[in-house]
Amino acid sequence: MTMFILSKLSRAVLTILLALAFAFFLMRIAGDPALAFLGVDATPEAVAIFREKFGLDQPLPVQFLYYMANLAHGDFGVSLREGRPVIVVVSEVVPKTLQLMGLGFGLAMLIGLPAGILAAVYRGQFIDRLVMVGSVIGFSLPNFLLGLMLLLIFTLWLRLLPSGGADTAVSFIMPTVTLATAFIGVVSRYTRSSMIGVLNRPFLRAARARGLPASTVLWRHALPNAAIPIVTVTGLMFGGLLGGASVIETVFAWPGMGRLLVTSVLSSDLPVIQFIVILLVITMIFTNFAVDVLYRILDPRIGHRGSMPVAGSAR
Amino acid sequence: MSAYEQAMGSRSDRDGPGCIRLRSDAQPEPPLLCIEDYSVSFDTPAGRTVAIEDINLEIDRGQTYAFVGESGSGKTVTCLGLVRLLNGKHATSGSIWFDGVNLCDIPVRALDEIRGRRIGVIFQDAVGSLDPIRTVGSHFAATIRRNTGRRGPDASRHAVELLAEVGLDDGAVLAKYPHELSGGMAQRVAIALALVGDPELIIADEPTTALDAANKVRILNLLRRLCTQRNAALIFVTHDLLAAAKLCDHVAVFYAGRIVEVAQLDVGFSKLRHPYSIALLRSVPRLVGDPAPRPIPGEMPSFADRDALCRFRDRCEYSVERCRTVAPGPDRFRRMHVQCHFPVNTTFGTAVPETADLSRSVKFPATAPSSNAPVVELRNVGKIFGGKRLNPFAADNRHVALTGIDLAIGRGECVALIGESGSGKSTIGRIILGLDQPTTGTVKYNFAANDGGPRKTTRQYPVQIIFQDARSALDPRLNIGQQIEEPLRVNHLGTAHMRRKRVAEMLDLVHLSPSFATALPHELSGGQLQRVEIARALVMNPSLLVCDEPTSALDVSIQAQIINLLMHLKQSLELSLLFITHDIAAARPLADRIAVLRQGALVEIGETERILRQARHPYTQELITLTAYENLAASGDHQMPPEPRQAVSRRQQYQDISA
Amino acid sequence: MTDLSTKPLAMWLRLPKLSAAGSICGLWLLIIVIAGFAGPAILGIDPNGVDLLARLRPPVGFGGTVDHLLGTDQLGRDILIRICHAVRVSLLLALFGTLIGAAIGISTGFLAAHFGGVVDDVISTLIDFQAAMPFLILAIAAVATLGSNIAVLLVLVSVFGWERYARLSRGLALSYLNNGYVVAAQTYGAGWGTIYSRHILLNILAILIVNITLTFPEILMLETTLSFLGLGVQPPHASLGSMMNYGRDQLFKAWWISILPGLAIFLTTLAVSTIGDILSNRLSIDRR
Repeated sequence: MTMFILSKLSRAVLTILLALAFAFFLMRIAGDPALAFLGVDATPEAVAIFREKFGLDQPLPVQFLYYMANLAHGDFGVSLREGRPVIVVVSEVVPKTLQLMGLGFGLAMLIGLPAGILAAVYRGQFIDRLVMVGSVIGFSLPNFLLGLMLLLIFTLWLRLLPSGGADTAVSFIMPTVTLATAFIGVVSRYTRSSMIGVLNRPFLRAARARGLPASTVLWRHALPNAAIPIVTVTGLMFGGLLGGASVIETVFAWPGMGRLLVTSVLSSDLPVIQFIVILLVITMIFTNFAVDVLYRILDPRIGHRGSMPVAGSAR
Repeated sequence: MSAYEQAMGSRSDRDGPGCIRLRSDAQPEPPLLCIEDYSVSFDTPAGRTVAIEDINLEIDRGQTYAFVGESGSGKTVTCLGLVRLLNGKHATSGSIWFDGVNLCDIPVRALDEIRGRRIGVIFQDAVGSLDPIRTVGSHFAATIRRNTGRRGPDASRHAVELLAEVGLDDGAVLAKYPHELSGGMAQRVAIALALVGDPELIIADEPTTALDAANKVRILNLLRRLCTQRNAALIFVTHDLLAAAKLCDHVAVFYAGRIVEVAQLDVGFSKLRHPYSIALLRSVPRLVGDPAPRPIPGEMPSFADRDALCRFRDRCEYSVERCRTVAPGPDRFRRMHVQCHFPVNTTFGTAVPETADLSRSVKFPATAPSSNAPVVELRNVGKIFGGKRLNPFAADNRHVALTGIDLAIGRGECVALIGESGSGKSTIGRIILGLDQPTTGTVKYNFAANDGGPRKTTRQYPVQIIFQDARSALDPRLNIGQQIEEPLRVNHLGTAHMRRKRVAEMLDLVHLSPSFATALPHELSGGQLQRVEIARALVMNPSLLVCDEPTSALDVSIQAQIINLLMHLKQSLELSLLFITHDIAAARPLADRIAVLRQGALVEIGETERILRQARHPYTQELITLTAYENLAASGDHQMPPEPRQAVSRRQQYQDISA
Repeated sequence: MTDLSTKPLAMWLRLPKLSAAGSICGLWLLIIVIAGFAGPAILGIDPNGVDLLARLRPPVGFGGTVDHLLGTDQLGRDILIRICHAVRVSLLLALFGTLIGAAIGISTGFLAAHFGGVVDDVISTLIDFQAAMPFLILAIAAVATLGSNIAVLLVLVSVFGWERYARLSRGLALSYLNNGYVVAAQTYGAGWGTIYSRHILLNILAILIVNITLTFPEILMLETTLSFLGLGVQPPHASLGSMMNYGRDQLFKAWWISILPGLAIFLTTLAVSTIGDILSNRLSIDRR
């Protein structure tokens, strides 16, 4: 287990370093940040001052070293648009995004898991078809379209919900539902296929043969086995939720990280973009690391006690 | 009044022609299990297929019944149907009386009270029948609580007792996960779990098929002892008549969805009278007597081709006009019965007539290993798998597959490579084929410029292979003609016309009709596919054929057909063979020499009969004892041969193997 | 092989026939393709033709007239003709993205399976890395640095899907390499090119096609999302996403400017996904 964690951790750290290097060089290749910020008609003096201020007059590898050293000191630069440290600008909006993601994730699980289980248990019957049709509609529906339609219905026509902002509890409703819809489809579908895979396994029949009633077999054997692959997909969902949040925040004027990212891109605020991307990359890599470890703990079959799997027992 | 109740009233009602009563002074005690006109049909995309039809059988308390048949005969469907554990959409008719209750009628809740408590079921795939993420102890806890109501330390005590009873004295088993158990251990755990409720009937669905020879014998012994001690009735489902005779006192022979014969096994197989039962028995390869197994020609009729007449008639050597027009008597008799117009012994006597079928009548004298240079010679070959990975923390996956292999195969010689799975026998095959490079040692080839193919360049590929799983060995997208033609096409040999001619020749060589050329693989049966595979391997006119367990996935009667075909080809084409197998009896008819492989090293090599009579290495001796143990029964000897290695206790033996 | 071409293509690929629902989806796709490629020629209206007298006209059925079936936008441009143009841009981007991604993914997957060892380690790490990342965020960052034009978008949508095909074809190739006919092909002298193209690729084609029906809608969604955020297709070109973005300000006044292109996206992704569902059901391929 220790070797496994070390192995995965070393890979995670390596991936992060690669991602940082990639992000840095991409940013620099993309064009002169000074011109990008000051505009093409800026005076040469202004450009020179800007470059010196941000260390852009050094050769690229030196810049990269400075950049890494700054990162190591927790110095992520200053927002070009707001003139405040990037870390402050971003940390102000992170909680709102996390709230939205958490609620969306919760709702997706709350509906998706039972729907998937029901569909698998009643495979081929009406409820299964209902869930399958619902899920395909769910993830085929672009979240920005759904968001706009909800705005039309609940804000313009019914006048029930506010059009944007994150001030009151009711303002959470539309963004959460919009974010969750696609993931309800994904979760229910994944749960269904995972459950169906388990329901065909011989140990369920063997458990029935030992006299265990169907409900016991479902709760005791089928669900725990089906849950293991679902854990891995939740790790991947985290990334999708972030992407979804950035769109939904724009639609509902939600003061979160996704909207900050989009406005920063539109105003070429590279330090903010860079910091958000680094933050996400590190978060995602550690999420996956955690999922790997969790998977390993949940499933005793994978490399128990770090030993090699013994080849070819019974054919 | 149901037929069952009638049966309760006056048992003599069932006395009639063809019905031989087991006990003339029948006890008033009713049978434990009574199957009446039981049929099961499945709904498939192709329509409704009848899997079993009009099954009738009675089993008393303490009786042990073997359900014997080839795949598709309906034996497993019958026994899973008994406890209503069939998967898929299906319909049943008839009734199954278990101690006065019709299992077909009662609600599922009532059935849950019977399953586990009064009927225990053991499955073929023991590891698969245990939940992979729960420990053995957790399985016991749930099963014991459900079936006996005991919990806590009381339940653990019960579990430990049961495990000891099946030969697992080590309490540590309870803390293990299924994947940590060997196949034999897992099957013991599954048996112990089936015993929790102290059932009156145990159904064992091919419990030994996935096990090696040593564990197979041990599990059979264990089941036999448990049934005797507990006075439990047993239904033992198997394709292996010899194992059936080892374990059971009665046999029900299944063929194409029906029971064709029910007989006693108390004096070996001498009471078998149905031509199919006799033919099946003769197709089993043995270690004594005539080495060549006698195949049953043809194949079992598919679900669509099954009618009311005798379904064995087209493969039966005794069949006459009457068999093709009149259905054999109804099998309403649930005791001894033969469903045939002309049971063997009564009409034709005991002798089985020879037929004109080439593949079975021609016998070849075992050729001595030729004195000329061997076609392939392995010297001190070793193989280590795995290597460096990018990540220094990744698990080291190096593992030694072979060490110091010296092996030569002469021209026209067949060497059988015997070993358990994981012994490295397939790796030797891959090295000879040039698919893997040996880590140490050398492989020397010595092929003659033999001209037989369309062009001399065919000699470029003088080693070819046939596999165990013929279905995955053929490209599902290409038709049979294309499959066989493929090697010629890839090497640009001959014109399209010449190649087609060659394909026809090859089909003829493996006894397939030319019409198969346009069929796709999924339209063929396993035996036919194996013939196609052989044809494709031979189309380039190779000198050496590597056969990687070519028969172990096939039914016994088909297995014998393939062995006979290979014998014929070896002789007529002067083909060298490397016959890789775990079954020493299957190797015997073909092999000039036998090489025994254990954990990547050759422990013994010698001429076949010498090895069989006087093996020197203890491992070889044990392999032979374990195989002969079953095979001796086949010779008609009803005395059970002595336990293997009598001086050693069963537990010690078990530890030897698992060590 | 000539005799393969004599069989119907679907049978050769072992693809099943579609049901009624599948036919409806196919019909919709046909309509949208014809609208995208022949629509502008048939209607013969300039998509950028400004008509300030006919601004914000609603669609027919909501008080509109037949000369603007789906209404007009704030500059009086006809929505129907603009959707036709936008559909062409969106479909072409998604289509090329899918095909390029599939080509890259299948080749890298085969390379990883074939060479194993370090090559496999590198490719697998890249696959894992991309699978773990929120691609939309990376795409937004890429647009921020590289600017937004059709070429950048095409690269992005191509890179989006490669990881899935690579993972899939690597796994399938690994299992097929152990199949008897692939091993046998090596022993009778078939080259690796033949083995991969003839015995592996053609056999897994059905699975790959099903996977295309899964990635295509997502790629379409990626492009329209970027365009909706104002980071994708830029004027004078229009994609369905950028049309929606353009109409957002007028949502409460003229909903049709945003919602109608959105419905076109929705129905297209729904149709492709449904066809994919039917195919995978028939072929019993587990898609997740």
